[in-house]
Amino acid sequence: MNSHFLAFDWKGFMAHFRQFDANSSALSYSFPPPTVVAGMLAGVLGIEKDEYYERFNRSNLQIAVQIVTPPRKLVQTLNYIFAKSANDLNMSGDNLHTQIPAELLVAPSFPRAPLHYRIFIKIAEAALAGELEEALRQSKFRYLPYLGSAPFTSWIEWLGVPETIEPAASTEPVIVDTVAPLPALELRSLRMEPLDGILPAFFREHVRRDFLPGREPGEVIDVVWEKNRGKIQAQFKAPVYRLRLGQQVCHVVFM
Amino acid sequence: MKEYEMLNVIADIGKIASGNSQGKLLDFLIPETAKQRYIVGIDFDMAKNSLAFNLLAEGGENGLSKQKLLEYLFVASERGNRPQFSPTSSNLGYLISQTLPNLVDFLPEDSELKKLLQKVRDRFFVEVQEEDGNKSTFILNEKLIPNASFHFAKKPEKLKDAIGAYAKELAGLIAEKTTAPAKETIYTVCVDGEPVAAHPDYQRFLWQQNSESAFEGGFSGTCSVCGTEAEVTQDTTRFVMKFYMTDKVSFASHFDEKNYYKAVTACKSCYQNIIIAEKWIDQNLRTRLGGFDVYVMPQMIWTEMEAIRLFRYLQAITREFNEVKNIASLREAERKAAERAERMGVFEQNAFIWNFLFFRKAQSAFKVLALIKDVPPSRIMEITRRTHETDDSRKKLEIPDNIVFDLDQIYRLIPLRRDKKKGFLEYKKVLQLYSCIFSGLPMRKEQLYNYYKQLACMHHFESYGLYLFKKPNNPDYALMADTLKWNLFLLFLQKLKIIEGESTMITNEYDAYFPNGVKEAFAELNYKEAQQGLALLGYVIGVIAYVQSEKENLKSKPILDKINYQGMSEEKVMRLFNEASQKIHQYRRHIGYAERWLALGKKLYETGAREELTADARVFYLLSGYSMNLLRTKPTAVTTETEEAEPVEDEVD
Repeated sequence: MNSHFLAFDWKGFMAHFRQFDANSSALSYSFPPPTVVAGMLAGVLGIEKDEYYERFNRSNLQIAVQIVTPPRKLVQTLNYIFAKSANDLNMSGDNLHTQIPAELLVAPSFPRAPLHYRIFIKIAEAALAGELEEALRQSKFRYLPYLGSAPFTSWIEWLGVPETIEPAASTEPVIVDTVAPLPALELRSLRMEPLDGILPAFFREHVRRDFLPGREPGEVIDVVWEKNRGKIQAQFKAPVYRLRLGQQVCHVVFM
Repeated sequence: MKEYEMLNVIADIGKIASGNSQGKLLDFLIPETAKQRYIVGIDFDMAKNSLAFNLLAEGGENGLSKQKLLEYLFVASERGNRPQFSPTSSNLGYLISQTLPNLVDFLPEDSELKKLLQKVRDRFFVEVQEEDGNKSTFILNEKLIPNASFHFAKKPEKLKDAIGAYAKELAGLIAEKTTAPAKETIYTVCVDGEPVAAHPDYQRFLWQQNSESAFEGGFSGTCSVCGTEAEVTQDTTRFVMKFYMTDKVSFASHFDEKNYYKAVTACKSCYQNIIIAEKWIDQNLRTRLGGFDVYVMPQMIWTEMEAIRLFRYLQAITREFNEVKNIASLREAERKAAERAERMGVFEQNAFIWNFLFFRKAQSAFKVLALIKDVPPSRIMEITRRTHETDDSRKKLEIPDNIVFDLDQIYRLIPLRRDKKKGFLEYKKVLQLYSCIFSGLPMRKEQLYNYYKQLACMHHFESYGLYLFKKPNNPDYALMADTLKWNLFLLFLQKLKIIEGESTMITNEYDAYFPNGVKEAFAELNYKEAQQGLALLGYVIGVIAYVQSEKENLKSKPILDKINYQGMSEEKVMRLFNEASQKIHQYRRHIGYAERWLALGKKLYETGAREELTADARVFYLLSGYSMNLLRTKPTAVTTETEEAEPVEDEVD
């Protein structure tokens, strides 16, 4: 089963992961939600838009995201084409625009350092796992990855196939390193006290877990992430995986 | 930002506020109070074919109670161009034109009320057309009203204007008959003495409009808010706080307007929670910060927290915020230590994340000016702590109570330009500052000095008309007060660590030569050498200014004109040192230790990192020194606080 876990770093200087329920202000999530990671992986394998939803569904591909550098958000206003109907899209009419504030993510030390996310994936289908490992290990990308929006080019650094030590026991509080889905936490078990002397700051985001065939909207989940240390201490209902990457041990919970 | 996304935050609040019982929907649609004091019935007497106006209810000085408003189902008018249907309204124009005919159209076929209102319409209303024949509407027949002028004797050019004039005249007539002034009156339509609003058919219709009408084009799908599989809708037109654009096809999946549902849908329960929450938020989570309207909207980390417990703290959140933003209420809150400690206990657990939505309501439009998201309670507590510390510094420096810094004051420290048509401009300057404070984002000190310089210019040149400020009684005193407030503001920001901290001079061999109180100010406010040097120059200028106005009986203080309020270049500072030196000699009879202070100032300025200071920063430190002097020489100065005008509730850019 170990061979079905993969890990890689995803880095870039700017990102935008639009919240699905905000379009008049293009607000961004602070991390790539599962649909973005799945779309990027499909791009890596060269699978066309709207053709991967079934193969990349939750039962086949599980995704966990670690926020290595908590992002800073900047707001810039973008000019979109003003289109009340599809005919207006070719700008043949009054050449009007509609202005949309868009949140962009950058690293706190931008532009000296890039944004950094660590992605862990767990794949059920061996063939898919093999294809992805091959592509990521050798950086053989059919489409270049970008962080949420086409202008934000990015790169992937292969970390390897993590060794699964064991799923951590859920009866005791665990410190996980990734964004955690709220339903995976035991009720009221989230620890609010300081960790290593630093008071945690938790944030909740409302993200879409996946798309159904035909890009029909799929499940929506609430996830929690922590800004100051990037670690969440709680008791979990869902399995928490202890993964070893070289000398490093990470605790991961999938979305 | 025009609109925003926090749909699930709003729905959560609605769920908690209503105790997850949407049965209370109508309760939430009714405002807690209304400023109007009277309810007048417009009664259609079917037997006599006549109209009567009766005073039905009277409120106290604070207006009508919720109970009365509920009895007559007083809800807000429909927004924009949507047809009006509420039989209880403060807008008489609606009631004498479209309301009843609309209700006749909207009520279901088998409704008793529909049949009754149809009779009223046929008997009491006449159809009127606009002059060009484009528009027509039903109007209450003028002939039924004694002594009425005839607004519709011929086809009016504009129906809207004619209805307005008719309503105004009728309101005057009703006021005469009932003694209820038109401005303080809510009207309700009655038929044979029975209010239409009390009819079960109308109540069902009102419920349906606010909860079910959006589901006429409903379909089964996944609710974007709660994630359940249910009957959902993509129709969000009834929401006041718009979050999602559905009128431009470029925002729909595959440019097809049928596809908005792929991003946002709501099930019935979430839909109703949002409708409830919007009203509840407006009544309970609305406050003001620095002249702006703001909703303080908490988001819960735990959805499972007990609703009742949470509900209490939800309301406490606005109170807590009201205390944080204002130093006077912060002090007051400290006195209620136990209550506050309990609240703090909950906030300390970071069980809420705070969201601040700055908005403006302009007629029916709801405009979001800024949204500051995801502020953890620990940040609010940090702000509270730092506000206290800053106030402690103020006390230590013996700066009087009327010269304080708190979050509300920021708005008074940044001059915002006024525009006759648009109200105030440049509001983003202030909102950006709030955003940095709440989110802990770094701030550029150069920018802050620039804002200060504009304020100093405004006071010196008395150009108040350009800005939101009213002319103070004593601009010189206002400049001093605002400069000291700016010092406290910068200290507050330093304490919050969002501007570069200034390292204090730990030992200073010249301490003994500083003017009284100034040494402490420099230490407390973390002035570096060059800043101290400039402040000492400013202090000496204050001494000279005092001599000029008090001893030499000059009408003004000419030395102040030597300061270039647009920015002091290095060369100008040196020239000012020399000019101050000459003046000291000129007025040596009255001048005390000024020569020593000036020499020390020059030495400190030259040994310090003066090249780091911008031209704006030099103005700030010079005037800070001047203000410190003015404060000392006028210990009992009349408190002439700078006054500012409230923002004009007009359209802004």
